[in-house]
Amino acid sequence: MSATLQPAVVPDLSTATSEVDNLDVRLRADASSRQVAIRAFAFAVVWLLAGSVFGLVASFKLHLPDWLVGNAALTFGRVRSAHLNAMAYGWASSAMLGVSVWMVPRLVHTELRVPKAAEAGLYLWNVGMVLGIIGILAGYSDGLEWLEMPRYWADPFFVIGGGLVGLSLLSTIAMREVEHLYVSVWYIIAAFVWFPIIFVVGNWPTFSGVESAAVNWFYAHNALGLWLTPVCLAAAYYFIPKILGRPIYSYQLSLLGFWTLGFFYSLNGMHHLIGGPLPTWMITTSVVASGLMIIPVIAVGVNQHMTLNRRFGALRYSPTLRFIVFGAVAYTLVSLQGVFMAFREVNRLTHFTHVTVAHAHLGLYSFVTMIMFGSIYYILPRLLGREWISERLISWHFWAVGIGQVVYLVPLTVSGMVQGVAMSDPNSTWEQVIQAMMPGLIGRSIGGTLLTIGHCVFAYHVFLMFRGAKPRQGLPPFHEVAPIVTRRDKATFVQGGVA
Amino acid sequence: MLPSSLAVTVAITLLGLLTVALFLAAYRRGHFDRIDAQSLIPLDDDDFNVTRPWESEAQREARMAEHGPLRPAVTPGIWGGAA
Repeated sequence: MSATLQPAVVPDLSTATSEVDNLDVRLRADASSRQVAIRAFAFAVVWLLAGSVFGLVASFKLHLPDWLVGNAALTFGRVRSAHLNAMAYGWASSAMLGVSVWMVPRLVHTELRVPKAAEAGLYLWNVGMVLGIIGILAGYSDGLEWLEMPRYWADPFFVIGGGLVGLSLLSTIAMREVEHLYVSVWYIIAAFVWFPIIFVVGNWPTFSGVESAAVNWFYAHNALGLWLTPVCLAAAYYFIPKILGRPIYSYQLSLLGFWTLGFFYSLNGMHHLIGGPLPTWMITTSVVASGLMIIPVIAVGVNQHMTLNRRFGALRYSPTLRFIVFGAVAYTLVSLQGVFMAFREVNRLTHFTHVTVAHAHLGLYSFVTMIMFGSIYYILPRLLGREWISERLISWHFWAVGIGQVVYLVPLTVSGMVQGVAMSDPNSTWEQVIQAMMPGLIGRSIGGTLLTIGHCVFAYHVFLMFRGAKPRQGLPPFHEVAPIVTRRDKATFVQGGVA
Repeated sequence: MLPSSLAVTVAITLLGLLTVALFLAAYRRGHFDRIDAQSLIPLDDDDFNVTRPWESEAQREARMAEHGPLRPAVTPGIWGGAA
């Protein structure tokens, strides 16, 4: 993880004074967050690989139930929980910590404050991860969805670790050298304030029975909406304008999206318990709040689409933009899908089926993970001071995970609906239900394999970057401004513009 | 009715009030003023006047009219690397 403090290419400083000032601010901001962000991305990639292996094993077990049954640690219940926690808290959250500590100093035009606290927080978070995953595999699960890691061994590390990173970020924002807070900063502030609250409430040990179920889904739904979502939207609102060189289409819409997310989202979780033994008003409130989520979703979707409008060609040039726009579109899709799945009539069909699993992956993978990939493609070269080694590896990564998601999500969603219909039919036997699901389960494993291949390519590329490898062709992949994800018409380009 | 919903009701109310407090603090401190200027915060001067090969001639001319002559994007990595 050795890295130089200098950027790969020192830009020409003989320009206007304001540009030099800009550059100086940017370089100081990047240098201050560099160590923490680099380590965060290194941890994230390790968890990405571990989580992928757990996920793949769990997926294969659904259609090969006799596979790996000799060892209790490798049984479905443990491996599946290890997969979820490794991906949500290990990969996505570590990457988000790195993106947050890198982005905030840039956006508030100052250096990261108390970086040692952020670094300590990152280490504590990952100590919690190791203890948590070991605990789950050893059979010490808390037995709560999204909160399986042992409450007393692992969870305190997340509260303290996340708190320390939050302390560093909030101190940086307090010492800012800009008057206003950009919408990305609002999202990050909110995420680091909301997360400790929902995490502590979700883990509070006194709940039992129906109340425990209600608190569990309050946490699990908000973990996606009030922790993972805000940081990913913050990244999208930063990188899309940055790469296109134009501000977002409507700043008012972006603020509307942020504040309505804050006001409506925390009410949503109870729609997971439709049909459960909870007060009807509670479920109905949640269904109504889920419907109101149309407002922030449309605000974000329209804003990001209109910012990119008539500039879609940019997707062929920037890996960051391609991954992030993929993620932003997925955000709109998963949110609209979530709104409809919250309605009782739809929920009656989809509840307890693989539609829910596909929906969760559309959110946590297609939205969150793709935005984190895009962010790392932008940030890591700036932190390490060297270019990505190979455009081909980036291209392989994108297509492996892009195709993998289609192969994963489409069959699983369709067979989940078939499963729902079959389960609603009193004349269907359970064996018939299982047979109806089988194509989706096999598709899920094939898709998961493609995703894992993509992750290995990405991890190998990151490893090469950390090792300081030089681009094979002698020039960095972005030396020429030419399409990097599709190679079509590359020959028509000359350096600096279209031929 | 209450025993099964009290904890969640309190937690959601707490989060809601926190968000309301944050909103009011933001309003009082003028964070909803000068909206157009706020949208420019992530963009540095050198983000505006670099040639972007995907832009049409009309878009390029509009960029030049607003930000002056464009510089060729010769800096390695400007679209994704280490610029």
